Amino acid sequence: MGVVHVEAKLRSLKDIVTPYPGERNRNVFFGGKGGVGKTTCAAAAAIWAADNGYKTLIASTDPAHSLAWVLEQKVGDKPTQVKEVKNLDAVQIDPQKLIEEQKEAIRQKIYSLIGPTLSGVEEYIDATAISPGVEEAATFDKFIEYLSLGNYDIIVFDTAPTGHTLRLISLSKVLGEWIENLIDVRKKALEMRKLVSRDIVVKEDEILKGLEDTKRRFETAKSIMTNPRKTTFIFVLIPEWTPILEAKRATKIIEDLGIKVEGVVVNQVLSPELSSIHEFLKSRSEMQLEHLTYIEKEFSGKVIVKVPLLEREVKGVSMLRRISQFMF
Amino acid sequence: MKFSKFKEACKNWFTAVSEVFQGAIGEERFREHAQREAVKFEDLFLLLCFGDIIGLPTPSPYFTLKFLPYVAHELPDFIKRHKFYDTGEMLALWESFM
Repeated sequence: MGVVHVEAKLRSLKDIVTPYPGERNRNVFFGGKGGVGKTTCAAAAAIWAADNGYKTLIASTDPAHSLAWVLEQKVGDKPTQVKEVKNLDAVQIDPQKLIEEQKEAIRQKIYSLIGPTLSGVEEYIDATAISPGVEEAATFDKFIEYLSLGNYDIIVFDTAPTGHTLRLISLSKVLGEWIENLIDVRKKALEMRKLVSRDIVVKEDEILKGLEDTKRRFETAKSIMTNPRKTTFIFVLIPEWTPILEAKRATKIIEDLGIKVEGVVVNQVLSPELSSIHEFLKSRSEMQLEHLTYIEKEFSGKVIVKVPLLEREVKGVSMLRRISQFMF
Repeated sequence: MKFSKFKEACKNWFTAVSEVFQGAIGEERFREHAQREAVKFEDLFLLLCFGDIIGLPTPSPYFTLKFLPYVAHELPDFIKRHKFYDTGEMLALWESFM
C-alpha cells in the first residue's frame, strides 16, 4: 500500500472532515471567537457528514449551550439523535454535573473505606470542586472519553471560544508531566516502605494503578490529538481585523502544541450582488475584500472556505444544511 | 600445622561473629534510615497530590481527587505536621517537582 504524504495539498473541507484513508475515525475541532459562527459551522459540518452516510457525533464544550439553540432541540449530557438528521447524535458536556458526580463518588468511596468522612476532608472536597480550572479539567476529562470512542466515524467538537479551547488542549501536556512526577514519587515511597515492612497494604497499589491509568489516558488523548491522520482543527472567523488577529495567534499556539490546523472558514461574507444595492454595503464589501486577501495570504496552505452572510441568523437544521452547501 | 589451622578457624569465627553484630546494628540503622525515607516520600507524595489542602497549589486537583479515599485517614495528621512546620528540605523537594 502506498504511503500517502500527510502534507499533500488539501483541496476541500471534505478531505479534512472525513476519515483519513486507512483510519476508522476522525476528530474535528472547531474553534473561534464567540459570535463568529463557530457553532453554526460545526453543526453544519456535522450535518453534512451525517447526510453523507458517516455516523457522526457533535459534542459541545461551549458553556453557552449555543448548540441546542442552533439545532433547535434539547441537547443533554448523553448523546441523543438529532431530529431530522438520521446519522447524527448531539451531546453537551456539562462540567458542573460531572463535578457533582465525581464529588459524590468520592464521598461514597471514603465512606466505604473508612466510614463517616473526617473533618477537613469534606471541606477539602467542596473547596476543590470550586477551585479555578476545575470546570475545564472536568470538560477535558469527558472529551478524552469521547476521543477514544469507537462507535462514531466522525466526532465534531464545538469548543468554547478561543481562550478555553487553548487551555483545554494545553492541559494534556502539563498534566502528563505532573502525573509522571507523582508516579515517580509514589514508586519511591513504596520502594522505601517495602524495605521497612514485609507486607504492603493493598491500598497503596490502588493509587499507583490509578496514577498509571490516568497517565495512559492523557497519553492516548495527546497522541490522538497530535496525529493529523486522526485529528484536525478548523478555525472560524469573520473578515474583520480583531477576529483575524486572534485566529492567527490561536493557530500558532495550537500548532505549537502539535495539533494541525487545516481549515479556515470565513463566515458572514457579504455577497457581491449586495454591493450594487447601497453605497454602505459596497464600502463594507470592499473592506471585507481587503481582509479576505490578507486571510488568503496568512493562512495559505490551509483550506479556506467562505460562507455568506444570510438574510437571518442561522437557526434550525434546514438553514444549517444551506450553510453546509457553501462549506463543502 | 594444626595450630595455624586453628588460628585460621578462630579468625574466621571472630570475623563471622563481628559481622553478625555489625549486621544487627547496621541493619537497625538501615531500617531507621529506610523508615525516614519512606515517610519523607510518602509525605512528599501527599504534598504534591493534595498540597492544596495546606495552601501549596497543585496543577489540577480534579484528576487526583479520586485518590483521596485512599489517603483520607492520613490527611488530618498530615495537615497537623506540615501546616506550620515545613522544613526547608520538604519545600525544596516539593519545588523541584513542580
